[in-house]
Amino acid sequence: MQSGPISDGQLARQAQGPANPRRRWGVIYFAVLAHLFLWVVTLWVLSRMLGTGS
Amino acid sequence: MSLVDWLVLGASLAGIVGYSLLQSRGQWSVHAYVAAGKQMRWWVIGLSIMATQASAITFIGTTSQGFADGLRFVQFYFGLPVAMVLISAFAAPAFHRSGVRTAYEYLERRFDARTRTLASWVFLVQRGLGVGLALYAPAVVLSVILQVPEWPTILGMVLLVSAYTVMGGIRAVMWADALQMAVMLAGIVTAFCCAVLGLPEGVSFRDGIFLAGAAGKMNAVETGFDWSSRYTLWSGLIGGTFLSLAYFGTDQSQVQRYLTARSLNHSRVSLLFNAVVKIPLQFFILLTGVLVFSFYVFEPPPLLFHPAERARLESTEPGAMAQLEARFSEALTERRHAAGRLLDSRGSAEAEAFGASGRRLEEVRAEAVALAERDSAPGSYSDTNYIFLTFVLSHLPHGLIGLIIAGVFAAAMSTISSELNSLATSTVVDHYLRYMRPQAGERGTRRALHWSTLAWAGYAAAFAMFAGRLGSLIEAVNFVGSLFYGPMLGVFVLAFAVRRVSAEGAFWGTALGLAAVWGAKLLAPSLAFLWLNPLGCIATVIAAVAISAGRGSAPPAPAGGPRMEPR
Repeated sequence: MQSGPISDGQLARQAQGPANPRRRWGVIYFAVLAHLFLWVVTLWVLSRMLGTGS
Repeated sequence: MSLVDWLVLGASLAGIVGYSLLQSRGQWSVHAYVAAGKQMRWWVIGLSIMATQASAITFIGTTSQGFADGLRFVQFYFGLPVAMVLISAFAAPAFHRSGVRTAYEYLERRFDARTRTLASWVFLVQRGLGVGLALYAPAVVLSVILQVPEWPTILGMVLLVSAYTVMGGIRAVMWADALQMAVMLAGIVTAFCCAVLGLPEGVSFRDGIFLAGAAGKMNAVETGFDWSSRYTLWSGLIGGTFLSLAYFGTDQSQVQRYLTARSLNHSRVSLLFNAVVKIPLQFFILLTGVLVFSFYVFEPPPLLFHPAERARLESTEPGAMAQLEARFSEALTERRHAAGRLLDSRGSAEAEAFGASGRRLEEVRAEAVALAERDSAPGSYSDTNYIFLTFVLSHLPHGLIGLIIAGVFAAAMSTISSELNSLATSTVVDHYLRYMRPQAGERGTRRALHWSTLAWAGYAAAFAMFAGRLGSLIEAVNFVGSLFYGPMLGVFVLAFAVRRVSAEGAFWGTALGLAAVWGAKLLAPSLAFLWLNPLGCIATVIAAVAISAGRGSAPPAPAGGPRMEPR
């Protein structure tokens, strides 16, 4: 529990809330890796569907 | 090539050089020359990173690979997004905070001058060999295709590249890269559209893809595990991640690009831009090659795509060539009929017949290639590199041919200029200013950068001029170049992530990592080269940690600490 006055640094961190840079970059990195996953799965499905030849 | 094509080619190249020099005017300081004044935006950096990686051989070789081997090569890039995320999260912030001008300067801050110098020498040797090949390989292909001697092609490219690299520094190089990437993309899109439109009446895009699939060209992902196979899901994801980490995270020709960003966020976005775009782009380039394959199911391709070799064999081996041509023509007709039957019925028996006719055709072609290889230096003949440009020159309208040849020149120049610029920067910052003239002023440093760029350009031209006489040495050069990445990545992993490693441990760990990779390649030559990168990295880290622990030396000052003044 916060007992004393809130420092400027704490106030700034609270004001940033969920949009803090570390979290924002984490979301972006996750999206990039999800994009990779989607491409791998799509290409794998494509290979199963069309790559039937020799 | 007609006059229109030459005009398009000349206008494209002149426009690129002119615009990039215009963008770099008034940038006379050393800071501007090597770091663009830290003012570059993410999209210019992103395009420059992409253009530096895409050499001319990537441009013509990847499309040709799509023709010959299908989409499998796309797996090579699966590790790239993972690597870009890791570099963006760990390497880019560390480089930015430390304010270094070369990646190797960071190693001196973290370890000592010896480790920095070792890493810089490895880069100079590796990239020095690379820039020679980046000039030689497309010059050979272009001189054959354009029917001009090699030396004017080599000299023309070197003079053009040197002009803006020496005068404008990295800012000119990066703007040129961005424009060159645009020309390359325009060329690929043009070729794709022409391949689709070139399919005969009644054969749609879907039919073309279906035929390619029946010939095994649509096998993009192979989930089987094989240590000796270059392109599988696992070698792409694991080996490709390590290779991309090493190339984008430790090679000065790439690190220097994102060190020019106006902020860390611009650096990160430029890297992530590549992470998102690279796989779709390579897929598209390979798909263009696959469609060229479908195009040549209906349009007869030449027995050999290398026009000069074909002409040579027709005069020196007329009997053998006539026999091969007759068998090739017969196999082509058989495959065309099999393709027609397959498109009509879509049955598995017809698909098998189409695949078998394709294999017979490839057998005849392989005999012709073996005939051509018999009189060439081992490993120096490649028919595959001529597939795409033969298609372009034989089947595209004039004007568009010039655009695509401009794309090939653009791909070559973007790689060469970035490599010359980074080689000169490392030579001057890591060696000249570090050991020879630490007190050199702004003017002296700038002059050293100019002369160093010119010297590297001269060396690249000399290498390319004499490379033809090196024969199988070219293979050795390629081989040697691929052995350094793992240990280089290892020493940077130590610098970024392992606190309790001494300078001595880092230096000898790198040396042992290099020895481990070379030993592995000698003992297990069939091991696919992508696996050498994780091996070299892990060997370096383990050796460095063991040496540091064994010697009991104190850990060095943290990165950015007071070990040296930034240069």
